[in-house]
Amino acid sequence: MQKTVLIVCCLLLCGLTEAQNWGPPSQSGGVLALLSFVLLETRAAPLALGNFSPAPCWAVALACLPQLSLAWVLVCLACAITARTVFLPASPDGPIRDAVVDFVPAALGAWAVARLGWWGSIPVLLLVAIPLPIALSYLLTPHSGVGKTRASLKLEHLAMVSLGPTAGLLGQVQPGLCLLVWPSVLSLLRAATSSDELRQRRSQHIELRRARSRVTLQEQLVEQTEVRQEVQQRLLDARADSFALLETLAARPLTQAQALHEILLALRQRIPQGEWHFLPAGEYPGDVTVGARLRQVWTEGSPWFWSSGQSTQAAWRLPQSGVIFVQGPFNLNSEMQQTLGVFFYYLSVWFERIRAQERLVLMLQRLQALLQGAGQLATLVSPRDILGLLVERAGQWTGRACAVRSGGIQVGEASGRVLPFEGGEFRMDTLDMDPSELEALRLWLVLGAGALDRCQAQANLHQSSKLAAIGQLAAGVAHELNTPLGAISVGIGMALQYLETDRLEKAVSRLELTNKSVEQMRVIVSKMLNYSRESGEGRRLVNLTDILRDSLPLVEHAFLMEKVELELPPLDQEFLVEANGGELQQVLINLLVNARLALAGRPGARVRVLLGPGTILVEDNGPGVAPENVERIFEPFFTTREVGQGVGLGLSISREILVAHQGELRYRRSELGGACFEMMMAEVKE
Amino acid sequence: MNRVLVLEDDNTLRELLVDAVESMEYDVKAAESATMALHLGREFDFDLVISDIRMAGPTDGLGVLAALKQRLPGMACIVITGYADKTAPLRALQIRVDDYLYKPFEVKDLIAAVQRVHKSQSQRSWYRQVLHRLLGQAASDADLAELQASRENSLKSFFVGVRSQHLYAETALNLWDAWEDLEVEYLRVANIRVVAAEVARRLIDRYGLWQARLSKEAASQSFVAAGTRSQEKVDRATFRRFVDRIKAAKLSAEDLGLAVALRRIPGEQRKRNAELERLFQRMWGSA
Repeated sequence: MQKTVLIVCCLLLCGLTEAQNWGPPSQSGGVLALLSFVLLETRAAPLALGNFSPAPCWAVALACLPQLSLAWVLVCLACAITARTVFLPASPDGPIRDAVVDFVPAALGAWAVARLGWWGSIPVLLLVAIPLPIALSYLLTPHSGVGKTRASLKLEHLAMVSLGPTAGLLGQVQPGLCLLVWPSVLSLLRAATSSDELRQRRSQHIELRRARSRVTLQEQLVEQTEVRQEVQQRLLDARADSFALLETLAARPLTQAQALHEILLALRQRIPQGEWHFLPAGEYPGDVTVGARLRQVWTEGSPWFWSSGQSTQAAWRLPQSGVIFVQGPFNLNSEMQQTLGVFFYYLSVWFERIRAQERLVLMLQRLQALLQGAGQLATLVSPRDILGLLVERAGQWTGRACAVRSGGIQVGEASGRVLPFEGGEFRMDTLDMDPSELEALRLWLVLGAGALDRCQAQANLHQSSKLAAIGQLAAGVAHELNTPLGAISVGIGMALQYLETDRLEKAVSRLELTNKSVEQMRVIVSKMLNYSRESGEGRRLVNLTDILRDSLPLVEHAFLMEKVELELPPLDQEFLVEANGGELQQVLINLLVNARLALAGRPGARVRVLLGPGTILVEDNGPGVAPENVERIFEPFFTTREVGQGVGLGLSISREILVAHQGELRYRRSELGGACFEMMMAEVKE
Repeated sequence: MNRVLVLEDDNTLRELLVDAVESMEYDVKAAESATMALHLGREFDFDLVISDIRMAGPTDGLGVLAALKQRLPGMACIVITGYADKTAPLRALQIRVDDYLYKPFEVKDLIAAVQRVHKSQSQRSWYRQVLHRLLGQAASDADLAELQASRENSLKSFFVGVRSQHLYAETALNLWDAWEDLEVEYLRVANIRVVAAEVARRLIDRYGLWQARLSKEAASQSFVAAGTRSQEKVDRATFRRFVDRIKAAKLSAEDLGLAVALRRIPGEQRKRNAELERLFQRMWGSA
């Protein structure tokens, strides 16, 4: 590049001077000179003439040309020096100075000889050509030459100075020949005189040029690196910014929609020229091509950029949410594209997390609802209520119609998938249902089934507790019945004996005696019947005194046997409650039997029964309930008795019975020292 | 034996019982409570007490019996009960009651029981004679007398245990197997004219152990499977019949003393003696 420019400059310069000074006869010579100059300088010098620069020869040759004025010669000199410094920066100390020393004296000598003739030029040569190089080299190139001699008159210079006038003469006669021969001669001369030096110079030149190109390369490299670093920095800044944005957003408890809103705000702040939109999946506005593009982005997932000079359109996908679309008069460079790509990638990751959190929250809410439902289930006692709640809740949670059928009860009407359910089926349209929701539904059904089971078990428990109570009573009652029965049996036997011996009166009196026993039995049996028949039937108005009175025959005997004193209230009061008499009797008998068992074998054992409006109190002077057990006595299957002595259902079922009567069964310490159980119900006033 | 005490808290039944026993021409005293019975027991020497178990008062029927027996060890006891707790049979066996009747019973059951108990003393000596005759044994000496007393007590326990239905048939069979072993030993010993004192003592101890085992199993109403049947042992069907006969009071405690011996003597020898054959049929016969 530099060379071409230089050649062009030289050509221009030559053309200019020729137009002014050169006559027609030297035109061919001038052109030739320039051509050779160009050739030599550019190509020939390093090839044909070894390591010699032809520029000085040229300068001399040119100087010899008679047509050239001194000014023109100086111009040529300048050109040559420039060329020399450019192409062969031989001297590491100073190429220009070296060139000046090389060229100026020779050229001046040639010029002088050519103009002034040999003789005329002698003084010039003596004055100028010989001392000038010495002076110049002394002044300008203190280390000129390879030998590092200061102020040495090099053979080269002398040759040039001396041959310069010869060339000048030759140039006057035959300029073309001069131009051809002169450099050759000079170069041969130089090669002969200083081939080693030239080689060294040459290698120095080459090294120098390499060094220079290395430096250039390095500079370029540094420059490029700087540019890249700058780009990198910008990229890093942008990413840091996007991450900071993501972080601040992630630190706040945002839903996906709120987060999207924030993100769009932030993007609008950062690239205000663009219109930023979030398009939920499936909604793609704009013209047909943009819509198609957005659809493609949504389906394929790779971002889309389109730019026309100043305006840009771009879109990125947020998986499972939608597409972010921007358009506007701004330029989206590659760094920004990259940064935005990364940003949206992390945004989608974050959204995924948000969604997971939302799912988690949803599941927790479901679980909470399930637990609440389970709590409600636990309070229900009728299978129909349980199924009703089951369907109601399942409907509320899923927003779908459902139905359940179990044990001959059908609640709700629905079609769809059949889920197995305790003793029946559960129907619901479960299409497109979230697996976790389905799982929750299953869990709910299991809970429901458990509640149904519990209902059944409770009913069975009631029955078995009743049977257990009857069993407890049976012991006492067996004695109560067997004794009069024995009396009847013996009485009849005796009567028969008397009849056999015709003692009629005696026989009759025996039979009458038997009648007493029959009456005795009738009373006991009727109480028993009361006890068993009334249970399970509806409620009616009953007098608590009657309950007590009816219960007494069933337990009295055992109290007598165990020598437990039974202190009773006056049995003529009236305390009405609306209740199931049999059940109340069951509770009362249970409490009395408990008291009796607690007192077994204690001297001075005493049980006191008190009646009040809506209340029956059973107190004893036994050991009472141990403090650590007070909390637990109403738990099912809690018992302090030995294995085989009771299953621990009495009190829990007693309490259930009273709770079912909107009443309560309470325990407290008795004034007598032992336990006091209080049956409380709503009093009915007439 | 002519003075009987009836202890029963149910007025009607007591009156009827008194009437029934009186009809058997005994001198009957009635007590309506334990206290009264104890009071009467101090005043009179009763030969027989018929008592209910469960009753109000400081002690129950069995307590009264035990107290009375301390004073009159030879006194006979019949227990009548409608229902009794678990400890009752054990205590009944301990105080060696003579019979155990469940309410309701018929007059003839009671009369049979009273008569059986009445007869038992004379019967006991009669059986001893039969046994001696059967074994050709000379009159017993003192050791032998104690041995026999111990044996008879064991039999009584077995009888009451079965009667009071506190022994399962299978448990009873198991006990009976052990009993047969004891009986073989006893018969062997009884055959020797002069029994060494320590041999008799050892046998008495074994009777004691057997009784203790019976009491325990009767009290806990445990079910103990009897060993496998062999030629020597009584088979289940026969034993079931035997137990039923005891429950129905067709056999008395004294009868049981002959049971093993009867089963063990060869058939021809038995058939030659009409009385033995009749006794065998009563106990083990299939009719």
